Formats: sequence, structure tokens, C-alpha cells
Amino acid sequence: MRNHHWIWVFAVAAPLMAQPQTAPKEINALLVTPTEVTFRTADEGMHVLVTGTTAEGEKIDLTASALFAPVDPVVKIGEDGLLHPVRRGDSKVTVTAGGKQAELTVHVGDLAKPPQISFIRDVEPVLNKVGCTSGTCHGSAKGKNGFKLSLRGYDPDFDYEALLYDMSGRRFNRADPARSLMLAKPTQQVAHGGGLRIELGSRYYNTVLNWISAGVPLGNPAGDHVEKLEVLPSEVFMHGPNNRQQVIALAHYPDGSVRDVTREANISSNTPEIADVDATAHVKGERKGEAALLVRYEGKFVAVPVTVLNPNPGFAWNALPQYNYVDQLNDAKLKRLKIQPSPLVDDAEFLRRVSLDLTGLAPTPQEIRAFLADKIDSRAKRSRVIDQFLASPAYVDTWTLKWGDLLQVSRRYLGDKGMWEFREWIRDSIAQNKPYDKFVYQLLAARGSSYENPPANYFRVTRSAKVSMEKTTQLFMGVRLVCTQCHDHPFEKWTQNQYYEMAAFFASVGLKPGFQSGDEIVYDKREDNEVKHPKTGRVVPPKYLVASVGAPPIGSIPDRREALVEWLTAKENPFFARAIANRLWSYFLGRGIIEPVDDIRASNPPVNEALLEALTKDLTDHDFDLKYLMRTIVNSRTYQASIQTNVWNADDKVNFSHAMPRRLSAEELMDAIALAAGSRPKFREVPPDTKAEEFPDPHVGKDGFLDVFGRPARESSCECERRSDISLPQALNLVNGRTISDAIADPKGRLAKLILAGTSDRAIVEELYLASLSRLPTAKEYDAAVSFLKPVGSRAAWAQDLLWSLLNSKAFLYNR
Amino acid sequence: MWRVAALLVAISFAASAGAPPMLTGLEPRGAQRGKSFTLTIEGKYLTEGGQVLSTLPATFTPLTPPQEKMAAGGKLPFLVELKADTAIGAYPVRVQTPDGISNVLLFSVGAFAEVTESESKPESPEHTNDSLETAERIEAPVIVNGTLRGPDRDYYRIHAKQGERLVFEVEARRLGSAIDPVLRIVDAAGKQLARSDDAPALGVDSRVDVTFPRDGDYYALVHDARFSLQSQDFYRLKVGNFTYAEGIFPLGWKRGEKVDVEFFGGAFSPPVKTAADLSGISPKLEFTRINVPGQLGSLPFLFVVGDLPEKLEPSHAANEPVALESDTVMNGRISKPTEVDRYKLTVSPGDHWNLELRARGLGTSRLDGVLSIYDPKGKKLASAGDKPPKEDVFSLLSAGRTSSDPWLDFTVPKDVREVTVTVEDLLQRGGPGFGYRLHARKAPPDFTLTVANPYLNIPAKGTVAVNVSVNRHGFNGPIQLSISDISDDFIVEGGHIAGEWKDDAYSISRNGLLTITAKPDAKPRKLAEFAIWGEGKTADGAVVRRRAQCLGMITEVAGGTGISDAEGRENQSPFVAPWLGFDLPVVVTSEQAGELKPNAPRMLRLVQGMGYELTWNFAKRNPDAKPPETVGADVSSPPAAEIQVRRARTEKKEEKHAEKGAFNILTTTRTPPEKFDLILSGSDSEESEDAALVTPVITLDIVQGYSLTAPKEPIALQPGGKVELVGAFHREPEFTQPVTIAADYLPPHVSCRPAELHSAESEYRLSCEGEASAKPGEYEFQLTPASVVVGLDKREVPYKIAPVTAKLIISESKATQAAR
Repeated sequence: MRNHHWIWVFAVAAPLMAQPQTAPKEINALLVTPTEVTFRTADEGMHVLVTGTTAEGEKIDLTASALFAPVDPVVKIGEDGLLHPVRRGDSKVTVTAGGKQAELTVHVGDLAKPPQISFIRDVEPVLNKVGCTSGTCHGSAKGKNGFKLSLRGYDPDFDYEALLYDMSGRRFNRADPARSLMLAKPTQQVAHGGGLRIELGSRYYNTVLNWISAGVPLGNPAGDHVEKLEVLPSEVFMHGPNNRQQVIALAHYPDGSVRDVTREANISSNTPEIADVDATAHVKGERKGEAALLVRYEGKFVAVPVTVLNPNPGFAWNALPQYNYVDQLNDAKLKRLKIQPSPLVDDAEFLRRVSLDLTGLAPTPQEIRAFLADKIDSRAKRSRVIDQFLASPAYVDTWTLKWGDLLQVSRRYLGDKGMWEFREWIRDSIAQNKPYDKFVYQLLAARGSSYENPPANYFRVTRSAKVSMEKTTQLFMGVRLVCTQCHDHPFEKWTQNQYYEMAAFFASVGLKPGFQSGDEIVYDKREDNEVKHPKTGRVVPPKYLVASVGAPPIGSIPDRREALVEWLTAKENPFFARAIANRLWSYFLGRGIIEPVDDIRASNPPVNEALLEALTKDLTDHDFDLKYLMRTIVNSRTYQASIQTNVWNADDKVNFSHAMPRRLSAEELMDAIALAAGSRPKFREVPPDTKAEEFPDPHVGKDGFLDVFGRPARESSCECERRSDISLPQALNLVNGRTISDAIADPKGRLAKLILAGTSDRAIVEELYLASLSRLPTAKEYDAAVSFLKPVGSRAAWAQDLLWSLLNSKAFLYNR
Repeated sequence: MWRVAALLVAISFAASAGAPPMLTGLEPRGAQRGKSFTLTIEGKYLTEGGQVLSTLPATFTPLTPPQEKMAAGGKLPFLVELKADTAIGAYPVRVQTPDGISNVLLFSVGAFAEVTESESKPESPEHTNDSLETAERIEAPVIVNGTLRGPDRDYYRIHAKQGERLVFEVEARRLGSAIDPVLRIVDAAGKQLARSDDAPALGVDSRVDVTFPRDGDYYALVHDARFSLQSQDFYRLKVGNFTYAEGIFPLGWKRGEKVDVEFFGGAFSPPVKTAADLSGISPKLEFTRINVPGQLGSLPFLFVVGDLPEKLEPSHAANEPVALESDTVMNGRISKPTEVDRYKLTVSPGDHWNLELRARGLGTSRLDGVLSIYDPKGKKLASAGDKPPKEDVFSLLSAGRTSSDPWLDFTVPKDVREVTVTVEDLLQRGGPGFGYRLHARKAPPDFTLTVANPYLNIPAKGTVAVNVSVNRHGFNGPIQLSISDISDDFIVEGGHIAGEWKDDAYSISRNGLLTITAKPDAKPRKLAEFAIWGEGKTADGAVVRRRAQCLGMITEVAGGTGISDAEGRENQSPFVAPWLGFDLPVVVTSEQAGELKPNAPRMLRLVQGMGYELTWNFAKRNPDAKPPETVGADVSSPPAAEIQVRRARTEKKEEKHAEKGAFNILTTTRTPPEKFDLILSGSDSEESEDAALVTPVITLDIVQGYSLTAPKEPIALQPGGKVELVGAFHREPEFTQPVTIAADYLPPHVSCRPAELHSAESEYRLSCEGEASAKPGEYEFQLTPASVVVGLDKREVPYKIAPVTAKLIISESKATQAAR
């Protein structure tokens, strides 16, 4: 028999009620999540999500307005808005919302059975939630007032022991649990520096009280740990700002039980200005864009993408030609977000852009003239010039420079000869288009003299197992493990144990001086070749960070480093190919699909997973041919898009709907000035005709122009070390600095030659525009430049001023 | 060490009547065998009439020097007629003038026609062949004599036919150039076909072997690996179809015997053996040169010549140990990757053994050797080469931290009568180029010596200093340096190398300084060679006497940009050529214009912590003599010995060209009681003919201020009784401070009143008494002396020497005895 009096309206948070959805839409279907709920003990509670789907496919969160009607009274809705068990039995709950109904299956077990309470499953989450284990409280490095817990409770064993055995166990009163110090402090029954953390008689209070009463059991380390964290919905998609969505977090345990931990989980948004989340796990769209929710609970992490669409009416997708899968996948994302991409850039700007991106150099006037004069199909000639650039020595030089940055090629670490040899090896690898997996293999498995086997220099920079591991994971996987040296990662799943397990792969790397001055030999130590865990002092055996198909069982390959590289460079490794595909993309589009490119983590999701996945697959399908992937990217319409924006993409900065202007890098700028002026500065460390992009390390021209413009010192492998900012010293250097003024006034420079050859005014103007801005001047620019000559008198001075002006223009300083 | 040598060389140059010659270059650097040519020797102070001293089988006929260069003595031209059968190789060239002898430069004799790079010719502009477009055309076979001036790249264009094979080789460091050459072969499009930096068996020199893919122009590019700026910046690019090998085996053999030497690699596949005759090689020489058979062109290989019996590693089953005999050199080879050569060595417990492996350090092996010793149960007893060398080893190598071949000083544990010695490559490599020489020697502790000066010009009535370093192989005692068979014309002083000691900073006493003074009647004479010896006594009284090795020549090698770090990665080792087999070449030159005279005894006794004001004056020998611009001091002590020599008078007008001055010699209470040698030297900042002077050694004999000995017999004391403790005390005359001697760590209920000694007492006395409750028994206690020392600055510093241990016997009291 149905008992209709069991109908309640979910009493959700007042703010939610205060901001109803805009114009109600007709609901076509109703979905309840989860569809089946099981209660094992009396103290459990469960959120249920109710989602309506409109005729247009739009999904609307109706949880707040849903009515729940249990068929049998085995469950009820509590004051907290959660479904709670009442008595043993199986039944259904009818859910009504938006004029539609759906059904929820419930199972309630034997509620007479006393709940098994444990520190791991019940108490540690409370300590984490109320902030006891936070970095500002007892979770700080030194604890607080003599009481130290692990940061965010990453080490329950440590916390348990700290609670039980510090102060000789005086935190508990076994005879009268309610008088325990562990309860008296957070409830402020006695003075507590951290203030009131737990209300007397609250749910958390009772949890701790019951735990003490039960004899402070630790619990079962194998069974009480969260096996999986599930967040519902797995993706939040809003059709405009001010929409709301309830999210719930479910902890899955090894015994198959599921617990609603929404209230204990830590839920935050990586971009609150787009989507914010409140204490009751309601997400609110603030403005159009994309964000990610990071949900953490007991060492498990889930990221939930949130999309807030442009609510403006009138969007109509204007399909542009798609050159390859990059355009297909990016267009799909843009179309979904109601962003109209910009059309192609013109030929001259394309040539400058692709030349700078592939070779680090602006095109020469001759190259520009030839390209513009070529009357074949624009796409075909662009593709052809891309191939030409990819086959050029300058391509090798500029990518040698990039890898030199990342691998920290510097005489500071390697001495002069080591530095030159390492650079030569990188350059040779790029010239050969060595497959990326082989390139990395040769680096990480390197041993021997750093002069005879230059990739061994990799370890001359890192010098220790820990630094080798940190650099390897950040550089080749995009994963930052630095903070896990001291504690589990606060925003990721990585643990302190994993840090040392990974470091163990490098434990036997030894360094000793070579037979030549300045050389060092990388060898396998035969003694003192293990890492030890700082807490236990025990030797930590190596273990892969994540399981991966294609990885050899550890121990099956005697050499640990080779095993690691086999695992790392396997096509199935979830990080390796993905990280480099993302990094390469960032070099051409100005930002990664995941940004920063070397900080890949769940809470930093890609803006276009499908695109990144496709790029990754393309790379592995082509045996890690980086040049192939570059060619694919720069041949896409997405890469060749104009910098000009439209009303639908003007404020898009992350979805690659239009090109983003990028300041020329330090070396690009110096080489572009040298090209424009026909004059190159000289440095004592390199032959006189050496281009800036050929400089082997940051000691060439140290503390000069290049450093002002953000050349990295190569003190880390972080992409962030190369600065692309704009500063006052840069502006002053451009206006008053010697680099530009000396180049312009070089007696053997372009200007002097033009004047001495008796070149006409118009030809000078054309030549200077081509050499600096890589395009012909407009008619207006011709006229303005030529008319500027008259009052000056000296043609040479006029031409110098003109070139100076061009070199100080944004069109010159930026790659557009 | 090298820096000191350079200073001393510079010091020896300047003499009143003219400075000794100094060579900076040879033009050309080499010649084709059998050809006659003009050799221009470049340098300084090359006065007309200078005579060439060389082993080059040639005649040297002086030509008229270019007049414009005569004033500076910058060039000496000779017409050189090489004998037709001159062996290919490097030959030392030095010049002797009336003012002395010069340094050595090497001259190379080759098989091909020689040309000089255009921009290396006099007055040529720089960077004229720095690109493909401006490459200089050459035709094989040829040797190009070129130079690299800093960030320089030299391109040479050569036409080749499809399938044509040419060997390109750069000779540079092997001939004493400071260049570390890199050689590239590129095609007309700039695509690199081959590259070599350090080729097998060529040290840092380069070689590529190219078969050209098609007809056309190709380019050989030579540059320095660091683009560094060097004073010796020459190279010889050899292009031709000559025979070369990548290695030889064995790496050496016994003097006077014949041995089959195997050449492999390059043109020698399969390897080829050729007989080498080592008879008639001078006992002074540690190396000879073995020519590569076949088409002439390669420089010969250096080959060790020894005096011990030699054996070749016999063929044997894998892992089967081979017997290793004492004082026999085993010539072995790690012939394939992961191979470990095992040797069985019969030993006796307590014996001291020295095992030495020579391989990579010889320049003819690729083996980074690891040497290990295992007991019969397989337990590793010792190993070397499998970890960074000890800090103290690096201290020998001040200019560039480098590894050396491994050696082990090993004492056999008890119950061990046989050990297994293993040899392997650190990187588990192997192949024909991984040869080695293993020498096991049952021997007392030993040492070797190296002289830093490549040659000496001793001014008549003047003094020069010689710096010698010691490489200790278990011998840790003091060493006295001397010169054997030196005539009465000379006085040798100093040469004290203090005993081995370390502090927390690993400072080690391993340098010696001696001076040679020519007596007034010593006249300029012909070149002689001095053999320097070091002698020390082991703990059991055995004498160890070793002859110092001389370096032949020194080429300083500058770092690239000079950017260095704490690890010293840019400190470059100089090029030296001990294989030239020279002892220390010496001539007596003209008298100097004046003399630097220290006003101190030659043996200066200093109590730890005390100082001494050392004054000096400049004595003119002729009225125009000008005092040296600056006068400095060098001490043979390492920094941690805490001996400082500070300039005492700093008034500016006295600093330059002063006729007198003073230094304060300062010690601390931690300065070890050893002998160290000190010299004063006067020099001028500009290289000029003005006098640069060295004083004979003043030996600093550092001593303890006082000493005491414990009473010979145990002190007997009864409970409730008294006794006077008496021991011997010695005080240095210079040490006048009171000394207190206290008894520490006495048993309970026993006390001694400290003794205070004020003057020349020869014994100390402490009154001790025991309470009735003092417990009978035998006890040890300490006598701890304490005092202060007064330095030059008049400040008192606490001064303690090590306490001595004494014995005390407390017998039962009479009452106790009676009660029992």
C-alpha cells in the first residue's frame, strides 16, 4: 500500500531557492542519480540528484524542486535533505519534478547491527573536514602547540599514533569519553587556539564520541580506505550564467559499500569567476567559460568539468573549412561553446608566423616576395613552405634552443665542453628527427663519459636521485611531484611513498670525474645505491607511478633506469605522449590544451580533451615523430587563424578560436633585429656569424639584451622560466638600447648598403617593411614614410629613424 | 702546482745581461719527411746566434732574422734539412742563447705535402675562411697548418669522387697545442656527414674516415670544442688515404725485449701484429713510440717501457682465475662487454700489497678500470675506480679535477692466504681497445714524485726554486728531496715535504720546495740534466728512495669563457710530455744585477703559535741595478697548516721597487710540528730585463713550546696518604710563558695540586693525596698541561699540547691490612 504522507519536498539551501531558474522549460525526461541506493547502517544518509532533460537536450538540475515519495517507509528524507534508512527492507521511491516522474530503488539492511566505526573511515574525514589537519593548523610542518598531524590527513597511521600516543594518551578519557581532551578542545570546552571546530552534540561530535566509546579503533587499513571517489554528475554543463547544479560525492570502499561524503569532501573550483561552488556543493555559473571542480576526499581526487555557455541569442555557426582533425575537433568544441572561430590570416602574416614558430627567424625579404608572388592555391603553398621550414637548418637550431632550455644545457652545470657536446647531441637528434621516445630513452638510460656520450649530461644537471626523478616526471610527463617529497600531494593523488618509489629508479646513478678536465662519468653505483624513506628509514623499492600496459615488470629488466624508460615511453603510458603533444601544441598556439604544460593533474583538465587525445594518438601512431605532429598542427586552419576576432570569440583566450599575439622571444627578437638591420652583435663565446637562436647557453651575452627580454637562465626545466612579459627595462632597451641603435647604424648594415647603392626612397621603404614587419607597406604607409623624408634632409638619418620606428612597433615585436 | 711552475719559469727568465729565450711558436709546425724548409722560431729574447736543441734528425742553418723583429728578439729563422728517413712523429725543439735555454715546443714530421692556412700567415686578416662560401681549397694528400683564434671556424673545401675514401685527422693536443679540436665533414648543402671530437687513441684530437657518397665538393670544418682563446692555438689537419689504427695491444713491455704488438681498428680489421724491438731504449725513458705499419701518415703510438717482467693474459675459460705474480706486469684486456678478468694472488696475512692498474691514463686504452680484491669466500675486501677518487687525490690535480687509473694499497687480513683480484670496466664495456697493465707488488708503502718545472735557468750567484709534488701510495712520512750527482758548483736547500696529515678540510702536505743556488764561480755552461730524488723512512726504518718524473714541457690550457664553479669544471689540465724522457734540464746563465737577501737563519725554529718578522733587503751588484717591483713569499705548507706570511710594511712607497721590507711569518697553535720551506721572490709585473730574484730556502722548523713525559713508574698511594708525582719537562728557549700541569680523571677521593712551571725547570712535581675512602686498585689518569702563547701581535692565546697518561696504584691502607 502506498503511504502518500511519506512525501517531502527536499529542503535545500535557502540561497538556491532565492534564485530560481530563469523561464521554466518543458521537461521531456527525468533522470535520478544514483538509480539505486543501499543503506547498511542506521547512521547513513544519501543525496539523490534529479535531472530533467528538455526537448533540445538541455539538462536542468531539478533536485531542489523534486518530490520524493517512498512506496514503503524503509527510508525517509531527513532534516539535512538526505535520504536516510528507517527500517530493513527493499522498496522504491517515486521522484516527481518538472511534471515528470522517475523511480529510485532502495535497499536497507539490518539496522539493528551496530555500526562499525573506525578512525580511518570515520574520524580522519572529520579531522580533515573541520580543518584540524590543514596546513595552517596541526597539519603544518611543525604542527601546532606540540600536536602534529599529517597534512590534510594524508597519513592516517601517523595521525592515529599522534592522537593515541602523544602526551601519553591523555587525549582520551576511556572511562568517560565525553570528557576526552579530543572532544573538549575542538568544542572549546577547554581553550583551543584553533577556535570552535565541532559543535557540541553535532554529527561530527557524535562520530568522535562513538569512536572513543568504541575504544578508539584504527580500523582495517585494507578495507576502510576509500577505493574510489565518484562525483555526480561527472560533467556540469550550463546554458548560461546563474544556472545551478548540485553535485554529490560518493566514496566506494573495498567491501562494495558506498557512502555519500558530499558534506565531508573538499570541493573547490579552479576558476570561481566562471563557476563557483558553495558549502553545500551547489555549483553556480557566474559567467560564460569553462572551469573545473576539484573534489577531494581521503586522498582521492576527481575533477569535474563545468561549462557555462554564452547566453546571448543569435549565435549561428558559420562553418569554416577544416584542414585536418585538429580543425574538426576544435570546431566541435567551439560550436558547442557557441564561439565562432576567426578566418585564416593573410599570406604575409602567415609566413611570418610560421617562420618564427618553426625556425625562430622572421622570413627574409626575398622569401616574402617569392611567397607572395607564388600564385598557386594558398593552402598548398602554405603547406609547401611549412615543409621547407621543417627541412631547414634554422628549424634544427630553434628546436635545439628549446630543448636546450628544457634540458638545462649550461656551462654552469656542464662546463664548456660538456655544454657544447650536450647541445651538439640535441642538435643532431633534431636534425635526424630522432623519434621522441628514443630521444628520451637515450637521455634517461645514459651512462658513460659526458663527452663521449653527451646525453649523460642529463644527470650532471640533476646530480641526485630525487632531483632526477622530479625533473623527469615534470619534463616528460608533465607531472609535478616536488611537494610529495615531504607529504602526499595536496591537490593530486600522488603520495609521498610514490615519490620515493619513483626516485628509486635513479638511486644507482653515480657521478665521478672523467679522465679529461671538466668531464664526468655517469655510472651505476655498486654501493650506496638505494633511496630510503625519510619516515621509516627503510629502503624503498622502485615502483611505476601508475600501472601502464606495455611496461615491463620491475625486475624483469636488470637495469632500473631502462625499466623506467620502457614504462615511460610506452605508447600506452598515460602521460608521456600526452605531455609532449600538449607541449608542442603550446609552442604554436601560445598556450597548452592543458596549461601550464608541465602541470598536468586532475584539477587542471584540458580545455579540449578530444583534441588532446587525438594529438596524442596521432603522435604514438606515428612512432613519436615530433616533426610529423608539428606539421599537422601548423597545417591546420586553427593554427592559421587570424588574430582578428568577432563578436563571438573576442573574449575567448583559451579555446584557440583565433590567434593570440605573442611577444617575440629574446632570441627571436635579437635575430629579427639582426635581419631587419643586416647587422649582428658579436659575442666572445661564439663565432661572429652565430645567430641568437644558435647560442648554446645563457652565458653568451649574459646580463644583456637577451636576459632583459626573458631568456631563461636554465636553472630549471620549467617552461615558465622563459619570460614573455613586457617590462619597463625592455621598453627602455628598445627605445634607447645599444642593440637596436648599433644595428641600425652599422656601416655594413642594410641601411648603409641601401643608401650607398643609391636605392630610391620607395624601394628603401619597401625593403625596410619587408625586413622588419615581413610585409609590404600599405599605400598610406608608403606615403607617410616618404613624406617624412622631406623635412629631415639626410636620407640616411630618415631611413634610420624609419627603421627604428618599425623595430619599436608592436607589429615587429609580436608574432601575430 | 702548474701555476707555481709557470711563476718559477717566469722568474728564471729575467737576468741582468738579458733574459733567457722563450718560445711561443714555430712556423711551420711541421714538415714533410725528407724535405728542406725554412723554420722560423718565434718567441722572446731570441738573440741572434741562438742555437736549436732538438732530437729532430736535421741540420739547422741560421738565416738572417727580419730586421724589424730583431729589436724584440721575436724571430729566429733557420734553413732546415730533414733527413730523408726521418720517422713520422713529434720532436722537441728548444733554443739556447747565451742567456739560457728556452721551453720546448714540438715539431711534427709528416708524410704529406704541407700548406699553411691563409689566415695563419703573417699579417693576414681574421675570419677569412669561416663559412662554406669562403672555404679554402685543398687537395689530398695534404697537411694544413692552421690556427684557431678564439671563436674561430676554419672551412676547407676538397673535391672528392663518389666512393673515394679519405681520412681526415687533426693533430693538435698531441703536439702541445691547447686547442681541443672538433672536426666535421659537411657536404655543399651544409649537411654533416661526419663529426669527431675525441677520437679513439688520439686523446682530445679528432679523426674521421669518410667515403664520399657522390662526386662533388665537400668541406672539412675545424674548430675548438670550447671556442676558447689559447696561446698555443695551432692545429694540423691531415687529409689523405693513410693507414691508421684505433688502438694497440699490449700497452707496454719490458725494456730490452721484443714483443708482438697488435694494431686494431681503422685499417686493421682484422687486427695485425707487428714485432716491436725494445732493445737499446734508455733506462730513463718510460715510453717509446711504436709506428703504425702500412701507408705512412699516422703519428706513432706511445708504448710503455718497463723494467719488470711482463706477461700476456693467457687464454682461459671465462671466470677462471689466472695466477698473478708479484712484481710482474700482467697485460690483459677486457675483450667483450660485461667481462670481468679474475686473477688469483697468493698472499700472507698482514702483508702489504700495492696493486696498480694502468689503462685509460696511458691514452692508449678506453678502459675506465675498476680494480677489486675479494677473499676466498667472495667477500669484497677493497675496490678502487668504482667511486669518485678521494678528495686527497684531487688535491694533486689542482688544475682540473680528473680521474686517474685505480690503485689499491692493501693489507691482507688475518687468515687470508689467497685473494682474487678482478679487473673490469666501470661501464661494463669491453672490446679490443680495453687493454690494461696490472701490477701487483708486495711492497712497503711507496710514493712517486713529479717536478713541476720543465727546465731551469740558474743565474750565476743566483737561486732558482723547484716545486715537486708527491703522490703517496701508502707512505705517509716526511720526505726529503735532493739532487743526485750535483757538482760542487751548486747549493741545494730545502726540499722538506712534511708528513701526511689531514684535517677536516682534507688539507694534505704533498708539496716540496727546494732551491738551487749557483756558487759564485759557477759559469754559464752547456745544458745539463738534474735528477731529483725523494727519500723517506717507513715506520720500520726502511728507506724509500724515488726519482722524480719531469714533465718535459708544459702548455697551459685556458678554459672556454673562464666561467668556473666550485667544482672546478672549467679548470683545465695543462698538456705535459713526460714521454720526452727529460730529467730537469738546467743551464747556468749570467749573473743578476742584484740579490735579494733575507735577514734570517736558514733554519728558523718557531714555536707553535708564535711568529717571526722576516726582513729582507736588496743588495746591488752593479750601480744601475733596480730593485724588483714586488717581493712576495711562497711557503710549501698547505693552507690548513695555518702558516701565513703577510707583508709587514704596507706603505705604498715601499711596495714598489723597495730596497728593503719585511714579512710577518705567523703560525697558530694548530700548525703541525713539521718542517716547511719558505722562499722570497722578487718580480716585475712587466716581462722585462729587470732582475727577478729568488732567495734560497728558509726552512721553518715548527716545534712544540714544551713537552713533558709521564713518570716512568706508576705512582703508589695509600688511602689517607700523600705522594709527590715527578716527571720530566722540556721547554723550548723561545717559550717563556708559565705552564700549568693538572692531573685529570683521577679516581674518586684522590686529588693532586696542579704544578706551575715558570722558567727552565727540567721536571714537574705534583702533590697528590688520597682520602681514607680511596678505593684500592690500579688506575690511569691524565696529566694535562696548559699555557698561553704570545704571537707577534702580543696577544695571548691558550696553548695546549696533548696530555700524557700516567698510572696510579692505590694500595690497601695499613688499617685495612691490619684488620684483615
